[in-house]
Amino acid sequence: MADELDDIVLSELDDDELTLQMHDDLYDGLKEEIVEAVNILLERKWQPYDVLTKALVEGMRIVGIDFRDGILFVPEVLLAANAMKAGMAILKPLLIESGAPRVGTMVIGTVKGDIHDIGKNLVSMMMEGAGFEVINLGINNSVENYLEAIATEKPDILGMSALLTTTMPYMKVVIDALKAKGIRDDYIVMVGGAPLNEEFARAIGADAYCRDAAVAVETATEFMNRKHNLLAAGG
Amino acid sequence: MRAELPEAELARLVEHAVGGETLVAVVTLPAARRGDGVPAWLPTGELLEPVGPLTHADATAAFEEQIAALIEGGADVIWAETMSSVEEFGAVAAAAANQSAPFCATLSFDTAGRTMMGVTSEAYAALAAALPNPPLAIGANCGTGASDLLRTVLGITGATPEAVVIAKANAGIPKFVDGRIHYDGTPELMADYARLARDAGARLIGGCCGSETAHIRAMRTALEDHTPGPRPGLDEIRARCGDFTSASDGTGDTSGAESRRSRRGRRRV
Repeated sequence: MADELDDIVLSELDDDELTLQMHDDLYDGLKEEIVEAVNILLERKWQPYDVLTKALVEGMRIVGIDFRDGILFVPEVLLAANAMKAGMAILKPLLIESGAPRVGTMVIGTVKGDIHDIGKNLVSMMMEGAGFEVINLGINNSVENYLEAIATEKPDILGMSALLTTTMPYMKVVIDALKAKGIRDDYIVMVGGAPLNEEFARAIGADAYCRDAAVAVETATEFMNRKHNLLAAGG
Repeated sequence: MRAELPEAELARLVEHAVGGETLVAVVTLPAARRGDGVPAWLPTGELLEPVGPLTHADATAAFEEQIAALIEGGADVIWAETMSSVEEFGAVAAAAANQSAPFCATLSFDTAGRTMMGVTSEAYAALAAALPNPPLAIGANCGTGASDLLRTVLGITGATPEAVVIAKANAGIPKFVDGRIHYDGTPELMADYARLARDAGARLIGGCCGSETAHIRAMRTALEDHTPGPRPGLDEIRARCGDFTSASDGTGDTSGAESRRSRRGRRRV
């Protein structure tokens, strides 16, 4: 058993081993180790985009699967997301500098009258973990807040959260406002929150209901792939 | 000048309504103190340390303020529900102890049989029993339907048979009909759930989201006419109240789940 506790020196691992170790360290929420490993890969002349996708995004994908399957719970996912964020902080300016492709952009917020924050923040963090740019509007958002953020940020995806049966109908108010402005189809609208379900999402005209943060990432990625394919096909 | 606290007001109104004869329990949802030092009477969405910014001391202080106001208003019992973390429950228990207030506490087991923070029914029962001031009653509320909640009750009564156990299930799941939210659980289903909850060992049985007067009436009638039966098995629960939302309740051996991922060894253990 002593072998398992031997210190691993990150800088002595080859690229493949280090990448796998980073997946494990993300899983365990080891922030300092992630920061160290990101710097090592950059010193080894890895492209920032490769560090992001092969090490961080892939690691968070594994965290997402085990969260979805009820093996990891919110505390572990928060620790993993914090470790990922620390790595992202190093990569972000380099990614912008190198003009790396962006996965997509999402505006997300809890609807008016509802002050529940945790689930939405978890979705934000997991989306960032998957390489998305996320603009988190916080809680208690009016139609005007959403419309303003959409106009400014020009996101691919609009995410709305509600934890109360009394506030979830407000999602329809927002979607109806998008329709009235003729911009509904410019965005992928994803909704989530404890009392919601598939049927509700359909009834209010959303594109997808996301049961949890992991499903949100899967759904968003799928939609973005489809969008990119359409753009490629259409020229 | 101190403004009238809503909890005290509520407790007084309830006590007035029942003529001071019935036990008054006022439900208080998880509360937290905002960063600016203003007591907040609604959940702020803050997570407690170590995963969030809210300290045990601040959470306890916020709960204490509510409890003091409720007791002042005439509440006999403090009732905290829809909690998800051990830390949050710990703050409620500490606040109740500081105020010498009897309390009941239920968690919401809505994620693969556990709470969203990963707490199992067994772990919760053991934790509550080990307190210097154990709750009068423990149990589950809200969550993901009657079947899952009954499975949680079996977990709690199995772990601590001597505990007084609370069961408060939602009346089905919410559906959006003609612009309004409507829960699809029928009074008949809730009546059968109440019988099963009793047989599972629950002694305080009620409904949560979507439970209207018709549901509560059906449950009461069912319990009054009920001849207690043996502890129901999972198959019986499934047959009478519908399928579970997850294969297991998250208790017991999780090594199978762990083995999905081979460890590479940890640094700085």
